[in-house]
Amino acid sequence: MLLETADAARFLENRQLTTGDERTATSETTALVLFARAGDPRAFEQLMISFQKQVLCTAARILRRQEDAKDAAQEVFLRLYRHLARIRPEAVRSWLYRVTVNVCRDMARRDRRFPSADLDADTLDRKLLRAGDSQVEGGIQLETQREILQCALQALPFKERTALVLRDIEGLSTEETARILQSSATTVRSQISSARVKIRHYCERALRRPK
Amino acid sequence: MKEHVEEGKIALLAGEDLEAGQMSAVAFHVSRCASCSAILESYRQRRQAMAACRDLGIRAGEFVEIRQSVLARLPARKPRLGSFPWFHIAPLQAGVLATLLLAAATIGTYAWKRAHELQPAGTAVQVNPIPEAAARPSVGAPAEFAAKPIPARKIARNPDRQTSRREPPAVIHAAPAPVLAAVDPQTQAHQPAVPDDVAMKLETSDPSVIIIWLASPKGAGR
Repeated sequence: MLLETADAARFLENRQLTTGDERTATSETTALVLFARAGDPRAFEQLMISFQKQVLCTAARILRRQEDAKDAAQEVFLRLYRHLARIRPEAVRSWLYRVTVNVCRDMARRDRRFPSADLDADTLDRKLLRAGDSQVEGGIQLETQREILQCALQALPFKERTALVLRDIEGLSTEETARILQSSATTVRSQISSARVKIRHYCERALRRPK
Repeated sequence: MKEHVEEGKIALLAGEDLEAGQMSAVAFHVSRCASCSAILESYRQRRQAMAACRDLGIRAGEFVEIRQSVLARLPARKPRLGSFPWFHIAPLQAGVLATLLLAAATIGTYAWKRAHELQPAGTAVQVNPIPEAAARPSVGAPAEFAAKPIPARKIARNPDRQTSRREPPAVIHAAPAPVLAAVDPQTQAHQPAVPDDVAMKLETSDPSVIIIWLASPKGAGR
């Protein structure tokens, strides 16, 4: 424990010497992980602050309900705490993506067994209609686009949705997405291609919808 | 343009996800085909829109709520066991300690077994020598020898014997069939009994196999 704390302190000292935002962020994460391993709750909370947006937004995109996304985020951070000793500090980001996807997959399976009433096709269509209505006045607003895209994402199968979220929304590379999804780059390309085509057709249908 | 490129490939081209081999061919076609070019443009716009709405507009209060919930659910740190700081050892040290304990236990067990195997001869089970007459009974052997069978186990447990299990069966028991002494009704005196048959019992290393040899003074063994 003492050794880890000393390592963390050394990392924080060395951080002053490093240049570049990404490098600094990595060494900060490393230091936070080492402090959190040593049992510092503030370090763990700081770690959560660093990654809360990534985890919650990814979960919210993959899952359909905001409440489920919050539950998933909590579960992800609890797993992070449990496995802190085994995670390489420089790989925390991709580890969190992978665990987020896994937790969301578990929740989606549970959802399939207990389908929610507010996720049926009528609800999606109503949302789509509302989004389509708001575009009449002065072109497509960002909020409208967001709503249409969210509806289109929800209509995708889980694997395609996850691949698209990681690649197009989170901005990861195809190879990184494949690693996180524990799949091959070719499979991910195929999923992304299919998802993009479906989303395009979905959005065009929404914008052409007669009032 | 005779044929259009698959829409899926244009979708991949929009995100530069196509493999290097296909990229140039698809890009070449799209640059010369107006409809494919329009499709590519729509994909690019949609991709930009998706990247722009990365932020879901989640309120800061929701993040705080999640963090507090997680911190409340964190397992409490295990209390220290007593006042022995040496008890909290690293996994590597624990492994070394366990190995040493296991080695000590193995050596101790081996030494204990060895000590019991090399006990002094006085404590070992005494083996009765087989009387020569009993071992090789003749037809006219006296009945006293035949009345003393030697237990097989006492021979088998002799620790100094270096024998294998495949040795030829040993003569364990040589007992003549019980013969009643003949009593002369006139003199009421005991006449020396003449045995009719002699039975030899041969035990092999297999306890389930016993060879019984019957020898008659009047005829050959059978």
